[in-house]
Amino acid sequence: MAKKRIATVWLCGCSGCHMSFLDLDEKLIDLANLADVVASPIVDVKEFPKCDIGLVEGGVANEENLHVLKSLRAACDVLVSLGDCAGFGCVPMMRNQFPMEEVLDRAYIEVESTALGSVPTEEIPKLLPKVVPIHECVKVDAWIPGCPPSAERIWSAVAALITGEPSESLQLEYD
Amino acid sequence: MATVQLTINGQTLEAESDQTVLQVCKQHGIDVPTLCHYEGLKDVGACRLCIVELEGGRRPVSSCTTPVSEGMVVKTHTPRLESLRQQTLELLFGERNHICPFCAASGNCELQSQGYRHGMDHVRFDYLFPKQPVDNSHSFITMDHNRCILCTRCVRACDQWVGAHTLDVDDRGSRSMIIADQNVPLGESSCVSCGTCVSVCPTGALFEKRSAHWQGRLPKEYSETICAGCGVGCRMHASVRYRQIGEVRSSGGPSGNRILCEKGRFWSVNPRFPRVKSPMVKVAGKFEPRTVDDILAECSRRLANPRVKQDPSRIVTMLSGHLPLETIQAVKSFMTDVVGSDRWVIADRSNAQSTREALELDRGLPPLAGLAELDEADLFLTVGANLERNAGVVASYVRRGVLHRRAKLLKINPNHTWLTDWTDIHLQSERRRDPMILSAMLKYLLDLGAADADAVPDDLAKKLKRLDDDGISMACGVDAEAIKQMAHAYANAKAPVIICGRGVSKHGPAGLVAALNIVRATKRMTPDGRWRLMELALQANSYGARLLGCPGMNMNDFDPHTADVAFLVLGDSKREWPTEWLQKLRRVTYVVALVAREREEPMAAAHAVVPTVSWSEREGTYVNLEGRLQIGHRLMDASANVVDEVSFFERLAADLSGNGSPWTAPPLPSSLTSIGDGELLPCRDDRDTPVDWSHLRALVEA
Repeated sequence: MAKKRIATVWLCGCSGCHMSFLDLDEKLIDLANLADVVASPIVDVKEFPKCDIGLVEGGVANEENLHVLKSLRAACDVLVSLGDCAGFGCVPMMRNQFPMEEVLDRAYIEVESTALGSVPTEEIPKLLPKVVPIHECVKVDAWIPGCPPSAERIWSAVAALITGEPSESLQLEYD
Repeated sequence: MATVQLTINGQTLEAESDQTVLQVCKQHGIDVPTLCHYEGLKDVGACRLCIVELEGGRRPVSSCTTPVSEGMVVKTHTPRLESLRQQTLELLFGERNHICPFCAASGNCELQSQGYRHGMDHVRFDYLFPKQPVDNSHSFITMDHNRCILCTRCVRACDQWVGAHTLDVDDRGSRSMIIADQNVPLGESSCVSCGTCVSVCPTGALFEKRSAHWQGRLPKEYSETICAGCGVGCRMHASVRYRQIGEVRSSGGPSGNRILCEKGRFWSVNPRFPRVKSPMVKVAGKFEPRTVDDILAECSRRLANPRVKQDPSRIVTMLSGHLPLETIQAVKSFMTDVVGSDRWVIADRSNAQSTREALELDRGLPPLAGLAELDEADLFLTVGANLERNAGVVASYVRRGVLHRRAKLLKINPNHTWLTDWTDIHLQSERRRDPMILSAMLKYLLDLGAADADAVPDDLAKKLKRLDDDGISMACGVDAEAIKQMAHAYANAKAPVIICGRGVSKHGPAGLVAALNIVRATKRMTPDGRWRLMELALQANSYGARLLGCPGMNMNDFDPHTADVAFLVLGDSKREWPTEWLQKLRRVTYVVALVAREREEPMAAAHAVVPTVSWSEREGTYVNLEGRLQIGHRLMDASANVVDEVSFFERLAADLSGNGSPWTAPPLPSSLTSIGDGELLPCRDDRDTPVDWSHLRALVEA
C-alpha cells in the first residue's frame, strides 16, 4: 500500500489539538510507517502539495485562515475537522457577540499589556466579522470533536482514514 | 382509574388512562430522550426531544404532553424521529452560545450528553451568536443566559416546588428570556436562595459559584445524609472532594419534600466561621493553645471543688439542638449520672419547659401535624413564627399552598417578614399577647358555632359570651374585628393548620395551649387523629431532645450566680445567641466551650475551648419536627486535633472516678433504636382526651 499523504493546519485555535496529536507518542512511529506528513505548522510549506488527508485545527477568524482552508480543501481528498474550534467555533467564537471595533480596541488599545496604542493595519490578516466553524466555509468530510480530542481518539480516526477500515465506535466528547 | 391498551414499538402495553405516553415508556424501560422533562415537575413539551410518531397522526407529538388513549399505536425510534431529534439538538446548540470547554456543567450536562447520544459532531445550521447577559448578582448562583435552552425547568421548580415563583419567562419565541421578578437582577429579586433552580437546570445556565471551578470533576459518588440546619431535617446528598463539600442536593424527603433552603444548601458548604483548630485556654483575655488533657485536668479540679461537690447543680450544660441524639443523651447522662445535676438544656432559644407543659409531654408525644398535612392545608395560621428564617422549607410549603391551592394565610406576629406580603390577615400584635388573641379567636369560633360548645364548661362559656369586642381589643392590643375575621376564615377552612413558632411558647405555655384548644375544640384533626397544629421545633434535634426527658432549667430564668462550671456543647451551631444569654454566661466562674467553629458569642464567654467534630464528620440520630426519626451520615472523616463530645465526657468521667468503674455513654433507648430510618415515632392518641380549659379560664378571669 502506498503511503498516504497527510497535511495538518492550525487556524484560529490554541494549538492544543496539535499538542494532542503529538501525544500519539510512540504511535507517531507507526504513523510514519503508514503516512507522510507533508504539511503542518512545523513543516514550512507555502503551497499545499496534493495530499490524501487534511486535518484542520481551529475555526475561521480572518482572511488568512479562510485562504489556507480553501487551498487545503483544494489540495486534499478528505478534509477532517479536528477539535471543537474547527467543528463548533468554540472559545474563539465568543468574540462574535461583540462588534468588531470593540474586539480590536480591546485587543490592541485597552488591554493592559499593550504598548501599541492603535489597531495595526499592515502585516496582519484582516479579521472576518465572525469566527465560524470550518464547515460554514468549505465542504468537510469528517469531524473529530473534543477540546482537545484525546490522542487515542485522533489515532483511531486517522488510522481508520488511512487504512480505510472503520474504527471501533468513536466516543464523542466536546469538553 | 380506567385502564387502556396501547402499542409502543410493536409491544402491547397496559396503562392508566391519566398517564402520558412518556410515563408509560419510562415505566416499561423504553428510553425516550428528554431535556425539559424532570421527574416531579409538570411537563410542558418545550424541548421537542421526546417526540414520538402516532399511527394516523399527521406529525410527531411530544410524548410528555400526550395522554395515552385506547388503541394508540406509538413509535419512539424511527429514522425520521432520530433525524428530527438531531436537528432539534443542533438548533439548540446554534441558538445560543454553548461552549462546552468553557462551561461549569461540561461533563455533567444533559444537553451535551444528548448531543453525544445522537452522534452530533457538528452543527449544520448557522449559529445565531446572540449577545446574552450573565447575571452574577446573586451571592451563590450565577445565571448565564448563553447556556439557557429555555426548557423552563427552573421556572417550574421555582413555582411548583419552592412556591416562590421568582423565575419566569419574558418575551416570546427565540427572544424568550428567563427573568427574575419583573426582570430585575437575581440578587435583587424575591429569590429565596434555595438553589432548587440550579439542581434542575440541565445545562450550565444556572450554576453554583462556589463549586463551579470543579467543573464536572465533582465526584460522581454522593454521600447521603440529612440536613442538621433546622427542625425539618431535609434528606440530602453531597459530593465531597479533598475534604470539601462540593455540592449539596435534595434527595427528596422527609414526607416527599423535594427542596432544600438557603441554610441547607449553601450555609452548610460555605461556613462563615472558621474551624477551631486546637484546644485553647483564655489567659488574660487572649486564647493560648493547650492540650485537651490540660483542659480536662482543670475541669476535674473544678468539679472536685467542695462547693460543687456539695451542690452539683452548680454545674450546668447548654447543648445545641443540632447535635445527634446520641451526643445529647451522652451529655445528659454525664450530667445526671456522673455529676448529679439535672441542669442541662437544649439552648435553641425556645422555652423547653413551657412547650413541655403545653403539649403535656409527660403523657407521651403529642399527635402533631407533619409536613404532609401542610400540603393539604387550605388555611395556614402562623403564630410567633418566622418561617422564612427558621424553617425555609416550611415557608415553601406555605407559599405553595397560597399560590396553588389558594390557601388562606393568617399571621400573628409582631414583625413584618417576607411572608407577610402573602398574608390575608396580619395581626401585628404586641409581644406576649398571643394567648389572649388566640383565646379571643376561640371565643369567636364558639360564637360562630364552629367550635364544639359541649366541650366548654358552662360557666366558662357564659363568661366567654359576655366578653365584648371593645374589651377584647383592649386586652389583645389589636382590633377585635380582625380577630373575628380570622375566626371566620378558620371556621370556613376544612383543613387549617396552625403553625406555632418560638414566639408563642417563649413566654410560657399559655399561647401554645390556646392554639391547641382551638384545634381540639374545632376538631381540626387528620383522619388518623393528628391535630392540625405544627410546633416549629427550631433545631435539628429540638424535637428529639424531648424524648430524653425534662431538662432541668431554661435559659431565660438561668441565674449565673447559681453556677460555677458551665459546659457549652454547641457543635457548629449556626444560630446566634441572644446577648442576654451571653451576658449571663460571662458571669459564670468557669465556662468550657466544646465547639467546632469559632463563633463569637461562645468564644467570648468561654475560659477554655475544645475543638469538636463538625456536622459533616458526625453520624447519628435526629428526630425532626414531625417526630420522624432519621439517621445522619458522615460525609468525611474527622479532621485532626478534634475530639468527639462523647469521648471528652468519658475521659472527664474517668478522671473524676479515679480508680472507680468509669462511666461510659449509654446507648439510645430501644424505643428509639427500634424505629427505622425515616419512620415516625409513635405518638399518643388524644382523640378522647378532654380539652384542658384551665389556661383559658385564667385568662378570662384576668
